[in-house]
Amino acid sequence: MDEREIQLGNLLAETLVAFGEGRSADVDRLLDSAGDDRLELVEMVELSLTLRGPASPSSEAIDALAMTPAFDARSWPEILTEARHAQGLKRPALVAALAQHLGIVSPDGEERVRERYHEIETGQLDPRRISSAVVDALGEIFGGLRAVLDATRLNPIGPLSPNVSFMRDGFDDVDGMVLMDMVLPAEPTADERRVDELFGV
Amino acid sequence: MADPSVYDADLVRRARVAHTAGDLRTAQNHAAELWLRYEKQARAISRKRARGDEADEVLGHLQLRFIKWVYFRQDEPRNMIGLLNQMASYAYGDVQRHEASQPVTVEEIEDYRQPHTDRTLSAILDRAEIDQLMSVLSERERLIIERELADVPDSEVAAELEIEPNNLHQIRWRALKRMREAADQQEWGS
Repeated sequence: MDEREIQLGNLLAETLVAFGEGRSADVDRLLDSAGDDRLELVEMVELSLTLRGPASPSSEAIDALAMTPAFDARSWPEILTEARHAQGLKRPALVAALAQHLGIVSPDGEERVRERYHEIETGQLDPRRISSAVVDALGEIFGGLRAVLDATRLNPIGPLSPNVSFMRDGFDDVDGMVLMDMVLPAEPTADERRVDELFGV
Repeated sequence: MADPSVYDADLVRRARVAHTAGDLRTAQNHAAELWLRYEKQARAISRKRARGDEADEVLGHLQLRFIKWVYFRQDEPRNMIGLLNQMASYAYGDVQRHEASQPVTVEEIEDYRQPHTDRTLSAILDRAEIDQLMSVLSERERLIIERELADVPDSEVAAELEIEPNNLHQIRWRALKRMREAADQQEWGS
């Protein structure tokens, strides 16, 4: 008998049992104990599971998993707007709390937080770029929303909110727009730059 | 038994229809069912990419990519195991980016249409192909694999064949190895 084959065969049997019983730590320990043959053992486990075919989960298990943050199909604008309304929070109160969590105290900094938060809630800012400090702060303000926000960062943000529809409708006063274009934007303050950085702008 | 790939395709289609219609609860249920059908395989696949805690992180990113694929992609699933293998390589990249404090990205999530290039056995599609693969086995090896698929305890199979459990495990290991080699040689699923 090939001793190594016996060892690996036994490890495969034990690993499959551990997999079946959901004992992840034991699975990792068994796989690591294969040493240089670890990858081959994992591939054999994968093959065995593939041969067995897909599982038939219970409706209870499906229902429970479907409600976890990872499966949340909403976009950030939907999630944040719903959470704010659920808490009865007006936008100014939310912005003040958010600025406080982020340590932004100056009026220009808080105004920038207001602008950037508006952009998040209306789908103009990509959640993927927003810093974890902002995600942490929003998670705390909305009471345990951190995991949902983290899991839904990759969800498409969908069409722009009607709140920004004026940007697509355009302005009647075209001359005014030309004049606006000619005015150079003011240099951002230190707090404005800090806020922009936090929001990934 | 219904073809799993047909059932999977139907689940994905219904999840997308529900998502488009705004019935998110139904969409989430279908996506959750699909994930649970392949969760064990996904756990094994994530362990091909990393070990221990890092493998669990790969699994987490793999799950997120899988769910986004169900909700937001248009392509039909042809082979869930191949798809999971491909996503796992991107999920490993997600973990690396996360550890380097780089922003999350979905560039790669946009395209899973490229043929899966990992081990060809990952491309097993249905029962008929598995039966063909099993034709490379001896009668005893085939019986051992069939008993395993029927969830017969090893002690019973060993008693049936009048061999020691050690010997049973060794024969099964060899049998699986031969099946994998045969699949590689025949370029299954290509």
